[in-house]
Amino acid sequence: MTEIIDVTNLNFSWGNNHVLKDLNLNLKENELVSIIGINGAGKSTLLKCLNRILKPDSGEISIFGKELSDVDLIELSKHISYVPQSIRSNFSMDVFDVVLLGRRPHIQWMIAGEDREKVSKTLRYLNLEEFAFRRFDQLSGGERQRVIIAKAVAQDPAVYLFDEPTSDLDLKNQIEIMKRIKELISAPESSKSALIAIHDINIAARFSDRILLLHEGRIIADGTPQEVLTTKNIAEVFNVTSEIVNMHPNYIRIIIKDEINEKKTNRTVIL
Amino acid sequence: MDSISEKHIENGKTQFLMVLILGIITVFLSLFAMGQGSSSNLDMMSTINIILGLEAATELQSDIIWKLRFPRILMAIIGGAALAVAGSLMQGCLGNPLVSPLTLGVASGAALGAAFAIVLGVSVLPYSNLAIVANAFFFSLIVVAIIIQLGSLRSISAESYILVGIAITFISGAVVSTMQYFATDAQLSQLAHWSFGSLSRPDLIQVLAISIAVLGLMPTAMKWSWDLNALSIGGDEFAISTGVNPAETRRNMLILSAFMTSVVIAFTGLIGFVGLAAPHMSRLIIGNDYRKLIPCSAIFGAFLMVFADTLGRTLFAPIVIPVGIMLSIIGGPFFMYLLLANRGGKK
Amino acid sequence: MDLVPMNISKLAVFQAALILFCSFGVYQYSVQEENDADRGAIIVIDSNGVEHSFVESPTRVAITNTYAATVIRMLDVESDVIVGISGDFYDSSLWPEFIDTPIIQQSAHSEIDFEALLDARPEVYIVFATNGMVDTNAIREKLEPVGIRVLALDFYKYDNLRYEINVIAKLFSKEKEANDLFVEFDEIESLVEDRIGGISETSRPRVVMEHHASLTRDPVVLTGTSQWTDLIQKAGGKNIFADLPGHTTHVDMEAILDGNPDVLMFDGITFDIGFNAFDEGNDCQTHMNFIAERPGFDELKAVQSGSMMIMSGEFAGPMMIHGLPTLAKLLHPSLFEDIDTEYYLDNYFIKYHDIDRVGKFVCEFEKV
Repeated sequence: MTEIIDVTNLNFSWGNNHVLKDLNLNLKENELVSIIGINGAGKSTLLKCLNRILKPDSGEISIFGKELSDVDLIELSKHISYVPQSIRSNFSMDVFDVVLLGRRPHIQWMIAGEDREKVSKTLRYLNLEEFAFRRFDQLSGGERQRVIIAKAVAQDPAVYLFDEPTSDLDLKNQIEIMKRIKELISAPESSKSALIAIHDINIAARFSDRILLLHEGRIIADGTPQEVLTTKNIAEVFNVTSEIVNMHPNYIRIIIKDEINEKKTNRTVIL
Repeated sequence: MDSISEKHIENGKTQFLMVLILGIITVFLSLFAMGQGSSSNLDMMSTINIILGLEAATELQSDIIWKLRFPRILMAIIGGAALAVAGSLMQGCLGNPLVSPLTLGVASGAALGAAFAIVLGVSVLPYSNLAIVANAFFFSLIVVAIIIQLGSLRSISAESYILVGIAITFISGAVVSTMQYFATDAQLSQLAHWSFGSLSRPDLIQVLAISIAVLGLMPTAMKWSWDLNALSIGGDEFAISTGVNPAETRRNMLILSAFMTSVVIAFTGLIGFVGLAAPHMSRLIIGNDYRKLIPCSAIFGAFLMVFADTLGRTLFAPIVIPVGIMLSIIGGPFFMYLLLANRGGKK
Repeated sequence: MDLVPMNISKLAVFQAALILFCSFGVYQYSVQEENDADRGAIIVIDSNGVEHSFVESPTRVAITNTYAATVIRMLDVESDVIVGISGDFYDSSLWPEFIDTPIIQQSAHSEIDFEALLDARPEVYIVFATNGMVDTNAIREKLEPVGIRVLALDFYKYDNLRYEINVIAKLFSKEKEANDLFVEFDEIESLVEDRIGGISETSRPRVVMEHHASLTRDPVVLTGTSQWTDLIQKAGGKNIFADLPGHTTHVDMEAILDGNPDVLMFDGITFDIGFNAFDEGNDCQTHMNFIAERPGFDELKAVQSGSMMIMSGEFAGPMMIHGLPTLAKLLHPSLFEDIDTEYYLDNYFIKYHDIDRVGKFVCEFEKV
C-alpha cells in the first residue's frame, strides 16, 4: 500500500510546552486511522501540523512524496481536507453554499453543474437533504457538525483529517457518520484515507483500521485496535481501569471501570 | 440534474433578479436626481429632454447639468459603491459585522491630512485648489502603508487589525484635537465644515478619475469572493482547509478596502454609515455569498448615497444638508427597522 | 459594638437622611450668597440676558477678544483696567499696552488658564455671547461661583452693537463718550442713507456673501442672522440668502447661479488681509479666480462685471459702522464717487487705536 502521508521526527511546542516530541507516523491509502489520547495530548495539534494550519518546530512531513511546505495551499487542499470540530462565525450562509465551499479548490470562479451535483449527492449521502436551504447558523450543533463534514466530502480529498467529528452528535448520528466515513475510505477505487482525532475510544475501536495512542508527545502504540487498546495501555494513558470485550463481528468494546490512583483521603463535601 | 441543484440555481436566479431590480431602481433614482436642483429653468422635464438630446441647452443649463449635477450624482454612485464594497470586504475578512471603512483608521488619516492643510497651511500640494484633498489622500495613504506593514507581520490576527485601526484613530484624533485647540476660530470652522462630507467637491475630471480607480479595483475584489466566503463563514482554520490563506486574504482585502475608502474620502470629506449598513442590508436580501454580496453592496451603497444626497438637497432647498448627516438621519432608523424585522427569522 | 446599623433598610434611611441634610445645607449656602450680594448702583444686562450688578465700576477686567478691547478704547476707558487678555492680542503694534498682560485664555475655544486667571483676579470677564465656538454658559458656570462676573457681549452684531456699547459705557461711567460715539455713528449712517435713500428695492444690487468655510465647489453662505446681512442692507444692497435661517449654511451652487447676483463678497478672515496684512501671497486673486472658474459662473453678472471682493475681518466687528461707507461705495460706486471712504477707516484707527492705518482691507477682483 502506498504511503500518502509520512511524518518523521515532528516537534511542536506551544510556548514552553513541548507538545509533540520527535513524533513519527504514516498514513496509507484506504486506511482509517484514529489518534487517541488524553486532553491536551496534542491530537488536534498533530492534525493541524499536517495541514499547514500550524507550523512545526522541526520535522519532515511529506504528502504523496512531496514536502508539505513546498506544496501550494490550493493544491494541498485538493488532497487534504481538515475538518474542525466546529466553526463559529458572525455570518451565515445556506447549508448548500457552505458545502459548496468544499469545491473551491477545484474551481476557478464559476461553478459548474458537476460542482452542484457533487454537493447535492454529498448532502443526500449524509442525510442532510432536508437542511439544504436552511441557514447554517440556525442548525443545531450536531447538524452543523455534519454539514462541515459534508463540506469536506464535497471537497473530495485523498486524505480527511477529522478533529472530533462525533463530539456534538447524538448516538445514532455518531454511528451513521462513522459508517459513512468508513464507506468512503474503504471504497477501493477511491484511494482515500482518514486520520481522526477522537475522544471516544469505542468509536475508534469499532471503526478504525489502525489506532495511534498519543501520550506525552509520542506515539506509544501503533497497531490494530486489539493490539493497542489493552487494559495496560489504557491504564497507563487514561488512568482508568477497564475491561475489553469482544464484539461481533470483529471489533472490541472497552468498558471503563474506575479511575486509578485516587487519593484515599477524607474529603468533606463543600457546598 | 436533481431537485436540490435545481433549487440552488433557482435561488441564484431569484437573487440575481432582486439585485437587478435594485440596480434599475438606483438608475431611475439617479435620473430623477439629475432633475433636482435649485435652478428655476432646469426642472425634471427639461433635464431629461436635454440629456436625451431632444432639447438644446443654453451654456448655463449645460454647465449645470454636466458640471454640477452629473459629477455629483456620479460621485454618489461611485462613492457609495466604493464605501459599501470596502465595508463588505472588511466585515468578511475581519469576521466582524461591526467594522466599517472608518474602522481601519483611513478616514482618521484623511481628517488629519485635512487638518494639517487647513490649520497649519501645510500640504503636499500647497497653494492649489487641491491642497486639502491632496493632503487628505496622502495621509490616508500613510495609513494604507501601515496596514501593508501589519500584513507582513507573521502572526497578525483579525483583532490586531481592528485594534491598530482604533489606535490610529485615537492618535490622529489626538493630533487633530491639538491642532483644533490652537487653531483660530475661523480655521476651526473650516475644519468642521470639511468634515461634514459633500459629494459636490470633486469636479467631473476628478470624479471620472475616482471612478476609474474604483471600477478598476472591483474585479479584484470579486476575484477573492470564494476566499472571503470561506474566511467569513468558518474562520482561519476552516479557510486553510479549503485552500484559502487567511493572512494573505486579509492583508489584500484590507489594502483594497483602505485604498477604495481613501480615494473617496479624500475628496468628499467624512461619510460614514454607508460602509457599515449597505453590506448588512444586502445580506438581508442576498445572504453572505461574496460573489453576490459585493455587487449587491455596491448597488445598495450607490442607492443610499444618491437617495441621501438628493433628499438633503431638496428637503430645504436651497439649503443643503450634508450627505453624511442625511445618511445618518434616514439610514439609522431604516437600518434599525430592517434588523428588527428580520430578527430570528429566515431571510 | 457596631456603630453602623447592620440592618440594610436602616442603612438606606441613614444615607438618604445624610444626602438630604447635605443638599439642604448647600442650597441654603447658595441662596444666602445671592441674598448677600448687594443690589449695587450699576446694573447691566448682557447679551445673554444675564443681569449683573456692581457697586462701582470694575477696576480689574479680563478681555478675551479684540472687539471688546476696541470698544473699551472707543469709550476712552483707561486701559489699565484690563488685567488679563487672550491670545488674540498678538499684534503688539496695535496693542502695545498689553505686551506684558497675562494671557488667560489662548483662544475663544480653548481652556481657561485658571492659575493665570486667579493671579489676575479680574472682577469681570468679557466674552462672546453668541459665538458658536465659545461655550459661554460653561464659562459662566465656572467663573460665577468664584465671584467673577461673566459679561457676554459680541460687538459683532449690527442690531445689538449700540446696546452693547451702552453696557460698557454704563459699567465705566462713560455715557458721554458713548453718546459722542453714537453721534459719530449717526453721521456716518446718515451719509450713506442719504446717498442710497432714493434707490428702489429692485435696484439694490443683489449680493451673495460667502463664509470662510466655503470651498470652491461647496459654498457656504452668510444668511439671516449674520451681521453682514444687515450691513449689506444698510449699504444699499440685498443679501439674496437673507431669508435662510441661522448665521451660515451650505447652499446648492445652483441657487447662486439662479440668483444671478450682481456682487460676490467673501469673508476675508482667513486671508492675509486687514490691519498690517498685505496679502503677500496674492491669495485673494487666486481665490477669486477659482470662483470665476466655477461651472456656470462666467454667466453671472458679478463675474462678468468683475464685482468680486474679499472683506477683512475688521468690517465685521466694532468697525462696522466706519466701514459702511466703504461697503456702500463698493456696491454703488457712482453714488459715492466723491466720497473718500478710506478716510473713515483711517480716522477710526487714528482716533481709537492711535495708530496709522496700514494694510490691505479690501481685495477687489482684477479682471484680466
